[in-house]
Amino acid sequence: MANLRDIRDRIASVKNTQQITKAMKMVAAARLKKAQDRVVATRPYAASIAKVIGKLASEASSENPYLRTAEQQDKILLIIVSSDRGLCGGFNTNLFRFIEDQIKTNFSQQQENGTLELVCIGRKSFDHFRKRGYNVKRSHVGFFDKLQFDSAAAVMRTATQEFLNSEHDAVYLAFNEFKSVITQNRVMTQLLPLDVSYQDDTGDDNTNYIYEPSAKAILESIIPLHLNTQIWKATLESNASEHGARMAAMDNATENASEIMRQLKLKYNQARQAAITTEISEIVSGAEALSN
Amino acid sequence: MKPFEVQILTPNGSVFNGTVTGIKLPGTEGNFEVLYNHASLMSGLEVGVITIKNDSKVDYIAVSGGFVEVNSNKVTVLAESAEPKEEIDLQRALESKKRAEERLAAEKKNAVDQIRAELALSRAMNRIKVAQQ
Repeated sequence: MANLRDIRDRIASVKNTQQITKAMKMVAAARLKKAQDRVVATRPYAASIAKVIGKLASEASSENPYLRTAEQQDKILLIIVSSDRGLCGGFNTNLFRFIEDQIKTNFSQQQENGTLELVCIGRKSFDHFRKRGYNVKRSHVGFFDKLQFDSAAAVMRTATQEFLNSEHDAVYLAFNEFKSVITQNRVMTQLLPLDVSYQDDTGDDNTNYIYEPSAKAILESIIPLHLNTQIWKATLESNASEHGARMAAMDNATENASEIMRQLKLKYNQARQAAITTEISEIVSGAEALSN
Repeated sequence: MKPFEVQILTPNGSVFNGTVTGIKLPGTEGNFEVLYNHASLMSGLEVGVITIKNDSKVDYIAVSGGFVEVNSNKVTVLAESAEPKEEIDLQRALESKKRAEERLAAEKKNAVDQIRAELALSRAMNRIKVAQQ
């Protein structure tokens, strides 16, 4: 039978851990609320830009540099949005597994040739992919400490510039999409060359606009804004998902700690009872020996 | 003057949402003002000041380029950053102006860096101008 004090110490330590996980859960919940608000705040802007691009889609021509489609997609840039911190369940590992599967099925050739380059946002993705010999071109560690539009847009601006310089044939983005507090969708989307056909014109208004300077020029100037918004939305969604995942993970941990504590308490009481029983029987047998 | 709707949207949320009687915008082809019943229009925006008029009340908003759509008495401004005069951090603007000037004064690097520094400078000067208006 385990020592009484050992068990008592274990209970105290589990209790400590539980307090930490409980606190982390509450912090995650508070941050989740904030992160969700930011996702919501960006929606009208993103929707308006998508609508304008839809209206201008008919102006899209092969001359538009953002629509340039290479005959063969040899040089790929993949932007990965993960988290900086751990303790958020399968948030990162699931995403990485998904990305590795996608690379295997879609870009195995490029991976072999070394023309698949990665941009890692978040420490976790950088650590993971660098260790496994992927070609990590740039990394942004500590990105989520101060999540700002400017820093997200800067990542995209550099990538866009490289695409325009033909350093890449296509730019992809992979991240955790926020579905609900406990579920994330892992998605991989193509950013460049831009596909404008899906932004179909609602057709409800056939207004004749005056364009200044021209529809083509406006489309070309608004596409970078659209791209920056895409990556900004991805980082916000990933951030919200991360806090959701951490909240769920910490909730589980708190529950598990309760379960362990319950079992330890049972063991402790058993040990205590056994000790008392032994003591009584010793006293009784001592008294009996005296009376004889 | 009849009022109409104006919405100024940024990636960080809506900066202005309400009815106004007039709005002056820094278009790529020059400044222009939109009043009630303006024709449908799409235009790019330069770094500059948006002036919102509500009868006699006037508000200034610093904008760092973007886009405007005018359609059936609804004006939508899309900008990566837009700040009302009251919210401009003058200290920060002065600092970024200094930084941009230093970068421009340093030896000429490539054209992209040059353009970026110039843009940063114009944004900073614009904020300072609006804040001191």
